[in-house]
Amino acid sequence: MHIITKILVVFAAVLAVLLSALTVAFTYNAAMIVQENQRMSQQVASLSADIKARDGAFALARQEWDQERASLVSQKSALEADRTNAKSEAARLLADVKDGQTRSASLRSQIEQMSATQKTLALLIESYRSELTNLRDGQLRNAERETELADRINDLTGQLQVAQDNNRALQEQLAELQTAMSQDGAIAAAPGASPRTTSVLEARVTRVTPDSGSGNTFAEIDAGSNDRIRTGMELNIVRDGRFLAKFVVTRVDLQKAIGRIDTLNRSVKIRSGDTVISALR
Amino acid sequence: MSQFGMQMPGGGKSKPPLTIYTGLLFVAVACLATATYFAFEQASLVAPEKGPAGAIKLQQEGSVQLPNADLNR
Repeated sequence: MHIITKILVVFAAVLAVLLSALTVAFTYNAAMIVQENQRMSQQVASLSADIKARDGAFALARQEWDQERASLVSQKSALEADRTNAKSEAARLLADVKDGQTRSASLRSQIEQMSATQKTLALLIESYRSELTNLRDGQLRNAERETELADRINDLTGQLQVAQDNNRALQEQLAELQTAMSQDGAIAAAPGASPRTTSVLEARVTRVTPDSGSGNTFAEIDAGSNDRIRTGMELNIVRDGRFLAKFVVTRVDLQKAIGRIDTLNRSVKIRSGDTVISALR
Repeated sequence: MSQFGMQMPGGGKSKPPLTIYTGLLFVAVACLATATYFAFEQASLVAPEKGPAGAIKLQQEGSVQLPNADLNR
Protein backbone atom coordinates (compact mmCIF):
# COMPACT_ATOMS: atom_id res chain seq x y z
CA MET A 1 0.00 0.00 0.00
CA HIS A 2 1.30 3.34 -0.91
CA ILE A 3 2.43 5.58 1.88
CA ILE A 4 -0.15 8.19 0.91
CA THR A 5 -2.79 5.58 1.14
CA LYS A 6 -1.70 4.69 4.60
CA ILE A 7 -1.62 8.27 5.57
CA LEU A 8 -5.06 8.73 4.14
CA VAL A 9 -6.28 5.69 5.99
CA VAL A 10 -4.92 7.07 9.22
CA PHE A 11 -6.58 10.40 8.49
CA ALA A 12 -9.75 8.66 7.61
CA ALA A 13 -9.69 6.66 10.83
CA VAL A 14 -8.93 9.69 12.91
CA LEU A 15 -11.57 11.72 11.16
CA ALA A 16 -14.03 8.91 11.54
CA VAL A 17 -13.36 8.68 15.26
CA LEU A 18 -13.53 12.39 15.59
CA LEU A 19 -16.69 12.56 13.58
CA SER A 20 -18.30 9.86 15.65
CA ALA A 21 -17.31 11.63 18.82
CA LEU A 22 -18.67 14.91 17.55
CA THR A 23 -21.84 13.21 16.37
CA VAL A 24 -22.39 11.52 19.73
CA ALA A 25 -21.74 14.76 21.57
CA PHE A 26 -23.96 16.67 19.21
CA THR A 27 -26.83 14.26 19.45
CA TYR A 28 -26.60 14.00 23.23
CA ASN A 29 -26.40 17.73 23.65
CA ALA A 30 -29.26 18.15 21.24
CA ALA A 31 -31.28 15.69 23.31
CA MET A 32 -30.41 17.60 26.46
CA ILE A 33 -31.34 20.82 24.79
CA VAL A 34 -34.61 19.35 23.63
CA GLN A 35 -35.30 18.04 27.11
CA GLU A 36 -34.40 21.39 28.60
CA ASN A 37 -36.56 23.03 26.01
CA GLN A 38 -39.46 20.83 26.99
CA ARG A 39 -38.92 21.59 30.63
CA MET A 40 -38.74 25.28 29.88
CA SER A 41 -41.88 24.93 27.82
CA GLN A 42 -43.62 23.33 30.74
CA GLN A 43 -42.40 26.06 32.99
CA VAL A 44 -43.55 28.61 30.50
CA ALA A 45 -46.91 26.90 30.33
CA SER A 46 -47.23 26.84 34.09
CA LEU A 47 -46.09 30.40 34.26
CA SER A 48 -48.56 31.28 31.54
CA ALA A 49 -51.30 29.55 33.51
CA ASP A 50 -50.16 31.37 36.59
CA ILE A 51 -50.12 34.60 34.64
CA LYS A 52 -53.57 33.83 33.28
CA ALA A 53 -54.80 33.17 36.78
CA ARG A 54 -53.18 36.34 37.94
CA ASP A 55 -54.65 38.13 34.94
CA GLY A 56 -58.06 36.82 35.97
CA ALA A 57 -57.50 37.95 39.53
CA PHE A 58 -56.16 41.22 38.23
CA ALA A 59 -59.19 41.59 35.96
CA LEU A 60 -61.45 40.84 38.91
CA ALA A 61 -59.54 43.33 41.04
CA ARG A 62 -59.61 45.77 38.15
CA GLN A 63 -63.36 45.31 37.86
CA GLU A 64 -63.78 45.82 41.58
CA TRP A 65 -61.52 48.83 41.38
CA ASP A 66 -63.56 50.15 38.45
CA GLN A 67 -66.73 49.65 40.46
CA GLU A 68 -65.20 51.35 43.47
CA ARG A 69 -63.92 54.11 41.22
CA ALA A 70 -67.40 54.50 39.74
CA SER A 71 -68.92 54.63 43.22
CA LEU A 72 -66.28 57.15 44.29
CA VAL A 73 -66.98 59.19 41.18
CA SER A 74 -70.68 59.12 41.98
CA GLN A 75 -69.88 60.04 45.58
CA LYS A 76 -67.68 62.83 44.30
CA SER A 77 -70.46 64.10 42.05
CA ALA A 78 -72.91 63.84 44.95
CA LEU A 79 -70.47 65.69 47.19
CA GLU A 80 -69.96 68.33 44.54
CA ALA A 81 -73.73 68.68 44.24
CA ASP A 82 -73.91 68.97 48.02
CA ARG A 83 -71.12 71.53 47.91
CA THR A 84 -73.00 73.50 45.28
CA ASN A 85 -76.17 73.32 47.37
CA ALA A 86 -74.21 74.35 50.45
CA LYS A 87 -72.75 77.31 48.54
CA SER A 88 -76.20 78.37 47.38
CA GLU A 89 -77.55 77.87 50.90
CA ALA A 90 -74.65 79.93 52.30
CA ALA A 91 -75.37 82.66 49.76
CA ARG A 92 -79.04 82.58 50.71
CA LEU A 93 -78.16 82.71 54.40
CA LEU A 94 -75.80 85.63 53.76
CA ALA A 95 -78.64 87.40 51.97
CA ASP A 96 -80.91 86.63 54.92
CA VAL A 97 -78.26 87.95 57.31
CA LYS A 98 -77.97 91.16 55.31
CA ASP A 99 -81.75 91.44 55.20
CA GLY A 100 -81.88 90.85 58.95
CA GLN A 101 -79.21 93.49 59.51
CA THR A 102 -81.16 95.95 57.36
CA ARG A 103 -84.34 95.18 59.25
CA SER A 104 -82.57 95.48 62.58
CA ALA A 105 -81.18 98.86 61.51
CA SER A 106 -84.68 99.97 60.49
CA LEU A 107 -86.08 98.64 63.77
CA ARG A 108 -83.37 100.51 65.68
CA SER A 109 -84.28 103.69 63.89
CA GLN A 110 -87.95 103.02 64.67
CA ILE A 111 -87.03 102.37 68.29
CA GLU A 112 -85.11 105.63 68.39
CA GLN A 113 -88.07 107.43 66.88
CA MET A 114 -90.38 105.80 69.38
CA SER A 115 -88.00 106.73 72.20
CA ALA A 116 -88.04 110.34 71.04
CA THR A 117 -91.83 110.14 70.75
CA GLN A 118 -92.01 108.55 74.17
CA LYS A 119 -89.85 111.32 75.63
CA THR A 120 -92.06 113.90 73.97
CA LEU A 121 -95.13 112.13 75.32
CA ALA A 122 -93.51 111.97 78.76
CA LEU A 123 -92.89 115.72 78.58
CA LEU A 124 -96.48 116.23 77.47
CA ILE A 125 -97.74 114.01 80.26
CA GLU A 126 -95.59 115.89 82.73
CA SER A 127 -96.96 119.18 81.47
CA TYR A 128 -100.50 117.75 81.60
CA ARG A 129 -99.82 116.45 85.08
CA SER A 130 -98.56 119.80 86.26
CA GLU A 131 -101.51 121.49 84.57
CA LEU A 132 -103.85 118.94 86.15
CA THR A 133 -102.20 119.52 89.51
CA ASN A 134 -102.65 123.23 89.07
CA LEU A 135 -106.24 122.67 88.03
CA ARG A 136 -106.83 120.39 91.00
CA ASP A 137 -105.22 122.91 93.30
CA GLY A 138 -107.49 125.51 91.79
CA GLN A 139 -110.41 123.17 92.14
CA LEU A 140 -109.44 122.49 95.74
CA ARG A 141 -109.12 126.17 96.42
CA ASN A 142 -112.48 126.66 94.70
CA ALA A 143 -113.94 123.86 96.81
CA GLU A 144 -112.47 125.42 99.92
CA ARG A 145 -113.76 128.76 98.79
CA GLU A 146 -117.13 127.17 98.11
CA THR A 147 -117.06 125.52 101.52
CA GLU A 148 -116.17 128.81 103.07
CA LEU A 149 -118.92 130.48 101.12
CA ALA A 150 -121.34 127.71 102.09
CA ASP A 151 -120.30 128.12 105.70
CA ARG A 152 -120.69 131.82 105.27
CA ILE A 153 -124.10 131.24 103.69
CA ASN A 154 -125.05 128.93 106.51
CA ASP A 155 -123.80 131.49 108.99
CA LEU A 156 -125.80 134.19 107.27
CA THR A 157 -128.78 131.85 107.00
CA GLY A 158 -128.43 131.12 110.67
CA GLN A 159 -128.07 134.76 111.43
CA LEU A 160 -131.06 135.49 109.22
CA GLN A 161 -133.07 132.85 110.97
CA VAL A 162 -131.85 134.12 114.30
CA ALA A 163 -132.73 137.63 113.24
CA GLN A 164 -136.13 136.40 112.13
CA ASP A 165 -136.56 134.58 115.43
CA ASN A 166 -135.34 137.62 117.20
CA ASN A 167 -137.78 139.72 115.24
CA ARG A 168 -140.53 137.28 116.07
CA ALA A 169 -139.50 137.31 119.72
CA LEU A 170 -139.38 141.09 119.71
CA GLN A 171 -142.78 141.16 118.13
CA GLU A 172 -144.05 138.79 120.81
CA GLN A 173 -142.43 140.93 123.41
CA LEU A 174 -144.00 143.94 121.84
CA ALA A 175 -147.37 142.22 121.85
CA GLU A 176 -146.87 141.23 125.46
CA LEU A 177 -145.82 144.75 126.33
CA GLN A 178 -148.82 146.08 124.59
CA THR A 179 -150.99 143.60 126.44
CA ALA A 180 -149.20 144.45 129.63
CA MET A 181 -149.62 148.14 129.00
CA SER A 182 -153.30 147.62 128.29
CA GLN A 183 -153.57 145.70 131.49
CA ASP A 184 -151.34 148.13 133.40
CA GLY A 185 -154.24 149.68 135.22
CA ALA A 186 -155.78 146.36 136.16
CA ILE A 187 -152.74 144.66 137.17
CA ALA A 188 -150.27 146.39 139.40
CA ALA A 189 -146.69 145.44 139.50
CA ALA A 190 -147.29 141.98 140.91
CA PRO A 191 -144.71 140.79 143.29
CA GLY A 192 -142.74 137.83 142.13
CA ALA A 193 -143.00 138.80 138.52
CA SER A 194 -140.01 137.59 136.82
CA PRO A 195 -138.00 140.36 135.20
CA ARG A 196 -136.86 137.74 132.82
CA THR A 197 -140.18 137.65 130.96
CA THR A 198 -139.20 140.78 129.13
CA SER A 199 -135.38 140.11 128.86
CA VAL A 200 -133.37 137.81 126.59
CA LEU A 201 -133.02 134.28 127.87
CA GLU A 202 -129.41 133.30 128.57
CA ALA A 203 -128.12 129.93 129.75
CA ARG A 204 -124.96 127.79 129.61
CA VAL A 205 -124.33 124.44 128.05
CA THR A 206 -123.51 122.01 130.82
CA ARG A 207 -123.08 118.79 128.85
CA VAL A 208 -122.83 117.71 125.25
CA THR A 209 -123.79 114.14 124.29
CA PRO A 210 -123.60 112.79 120.70
CA ASP A 211 -126.23 110.20 119.76
CA SER A 212 -124.66 107.49 117.58
CA GLY A 213 -128.03 105.99 116.71
CA SER A 214 -129.57 109.05 115.11
CA GLY A 215 -126.37 110.89 114.42
CA ASN A 216 -127.57 113.97 116.26
CA THR A 217 -125.84 115.78 119.09
CA PHE A 218 -127.76 116.61 122.20
CA ALA A 219 -126.83 119.17 124.83
CA GLU A 220 -128.05 120.02 128.31
CA ILE A 221 -128.41 123.62 129.52
CA ASP A 222 -128.84 125.06 132.99
CA ALA A 223 -132.23 126.65 132.30
CA GLY A 224 -135.64 125.00 132.55
CA SER A 225 -139.32 125.67 132.83
CA ASN A 226 -138.67 128.19 135.60
CA ASP A 227 -136.86 130.25 132.94
CA ARG A 228 -139.87 129.94 130.58
CA ILE A 229 -138.18 127.28 128.48
CA ARG A 230 -140.72 125.29 126.57
CA THR A 231 -140.44 122.15 124.48
CA GLY A 232 -139.84 122.97 120.83
CA MET A 233 -138.27 126.36 121.49
CA GLU A 234 -135.32 127.24 119.27
CA LEU A 235 -132.43 128.96 120.96
CA ASN A 236 -129.04 130.09 119.70
CA ILE A 237 -125.69 128.79 120.86
CA VAL A 238 -122.97 131.44 120.70
CA ARG A 239 -119.32 131.65 121.78
CA ASP A 240 -117.46 134.89 122.20
CA GLY A 241 -120.38 136.67 120.50
CA ARG A 242 -120.18 134.44 117.48
CA PHE A 243 -123.12 132.28 116.42
CA LEU A 244 -122.40 128.57 116.42
CA ALA A 245 -125.62 126.54 116.10
CA LYS A 246 -129.29 126.24 116.90
CA PHE A 247 -130.59 124.57 120.06
CA VAL A 248 -133.99 122.89 119.69
CA VAL A 249 -135.46 122.01 123.11
CA THR A 250 -136.71 118.45 123.31
CA ARG A 251 -137.21 117.97 127.04
CA VAL A 252 -137.62 120.46 129.84
CA ASP A 253 -137.18 120.21 133.59
CA LEU A 254 -137.53 122.87 136.21
CA GLN A 255 -133.90 123.87 136.26
CA LYS A 256 -132.50 122.27 133.10
CA ALA A 257 -133.44 121.41 129.63
CA ILE A 258 -132.19 119.01 126.96
CA GLY A 259 -132.24 119.78 123.28
CA ARG A 260 -130.90 118.80 119.89
CA ILE A 261 -128.06 120.81 118.37
CA ASP A 262 -128.60 121.90 114.80
CA THR A 263 -125.30 123.09 113.26
CA LEU A 264 -127.01 124.15 109.99
CA ASN A 265 -124.56 121.92 108.04
CA ARG A 266 -121.59 123.75 109.44
CA SER A 267 -118.57 122.13 110.94
CA VAL A 268 -118.72 123.52 114.46
CA LYS A 269 -118.18 121.80 117.77
CA ILE A 270 -120.29 122.68 120.78
CA ARG A 271 -118.51 122.51 124.11
CA SER A 272 -119.61 122.82 127.71
CA GLY A 273 -119.67 126.41 128.72
CA ASP A 274 -120.99 127.74 125.44
CA THR A 275 -123.72 130.35 125.84
CA VAL A 276 -127.31 129.66 124.84
CA ILE A 277 -129.43 132.74 124.20
CA SER A 278 -132.88 133.21 122.89
CA ALA A 279 -132.04 136.15 120.64
CA LEU A 280 -128.84 137.38 119.02
CA ARG A 281 -127.71 140.85 120.04
CA MET B 1 -4.04 -9.69 -9.02
CA SER B 2 -1.52 -7.80 -10.97
CA GLN B 3 -2.54 -4.55 -9.43
CA PHE B 4 -1.36 -5.85 -6.13
CA GLY B 5 2.17 -6.21 -7.58
CA MET B 6 3.25 -9.59 -6.54
CA GLN B 7 6.83 -9.56 -5.36
CA MET B 8 9.22 -12.41 -6.09
CA PRO B 9 11.22 -13.66 -3.09
CA GLY B 10 14.89 -12.62 -3.04
CA GLY B 11 14.25 -9.80 -5.49
CA GLY B 12 14.39 -5.83 -4.82
CA LYS B 13 11.33 -3.90 -3.32
CA SER B 14 9.46 -1.63 -5.66
CA LYS B 15 7.03 1.21 -4.73
CA PRO B 16 3.42 0.26 -4.64
CA PRO B 17 1.50 2.13 -7.25
CA LEU B 18 -1.27 4.66 -6.61
CA THR B 19 -4.53 3.02 -7.32
CA ILE B 20 -8.10 4.10 -7.64
CA TYR B 21 -8.64 3.14 -4.13
CA THR B 22 -6.20 5.76 -3.05
CA GLY B 23 -8.26 8.30 -4.86
CA LEU B 24 -11.45 7.05 -3.35
CA LEU B 25 -9.80 7.06 -0.01
CA PHE B 26 -8.72 10.57 -0.62
CA VAL B 27 -12.28 11.56 -1.48
CA ALA B 28 -13.54 9.77 1.62
CA VAL B 29 -11.02 11.57 3.77
CA ALA B 30 -12.06 14.84 2.21
CA CYS B 31 -15.74 14.09 2.86
CA LEU B 32 -14.94 13.00 6.38
CA ALA B 33 -12.97 16.18 6.92
CA THR B 34 -15.85 18.27 5.60
CA ALA B 35 -18.38 16.37 7.70
CA THR B 36 -16.11 16.64 10.69
CA TYR B 37 -15.86 20.37 10.16
CA PHE B 38 -19.65 20.84 9.92
CA ALA B 39 -20.21 18.51 12.85
CA PHE B 40 -17.66 20.42 14.82
CA GLU B 41 -19.40 23.69 14.00
CA GLN B 42 -22.84 22.45 15.13
CA ALA B 43 -21.43 20.54 18.09
CA SER B 44 -19.73 23.73 19.20
CA LEU B 45 -23.10 25.49 19.14
CA VAL B 46 -24.68 22.98 21.49
CA ALA B 47 -21.51 22.39 23.52
CA PRO B 48 -21.59 23.36 27.24
CA GLU B 49 -18.13 24.97 27.05
CA LYS B 50 -16.29 27.29 24.71
CA GLY B 51 -13.24 26.22 22.75
CA PRO B 52 -12.48 23.31 20.46
CA ALA B 53 -12.38 20.81 23.32
CA GLY B 54 -15.81 21.83 24.47
CA ALA B 55 -17.43 20.51 21.30
CA ILE B 56 -17.18 16.94 22.54
CA LYS B 57 -18.27 17.81 26.08
CA LEU B 58 -21.72 16.70 27.22
CA GLN B 59 -24.43 18.90 28.77
CA GLN B 60 -25.38 18.38 32.41
CA GLU B 61 -28.92 17.13 32.84
CA GLY B 62 -31.12 19.83 34.25
CA SER B 63 -28.63 22.67 33.61
CA VAL B 64 -28.20 23.23 29.91
CA GLN B 65 -25.70 25.90 28.98
CA LEU B 66 -25.16 27.26 25.51
CA PRO B 67 -22.24 29.66 25.70
CA ASN B 68 -21.50 29.48 22.00
CA ALA B 69 -25.07 29.93 20.80
CA ASP B 70 -26.10 33.41 19.72
CA LEU B 71 -29.70 33.41 20.99
CA ASN B 72 -30.35 36.97 19.91
CA ARG B 73 -29.66 36.26 16.26
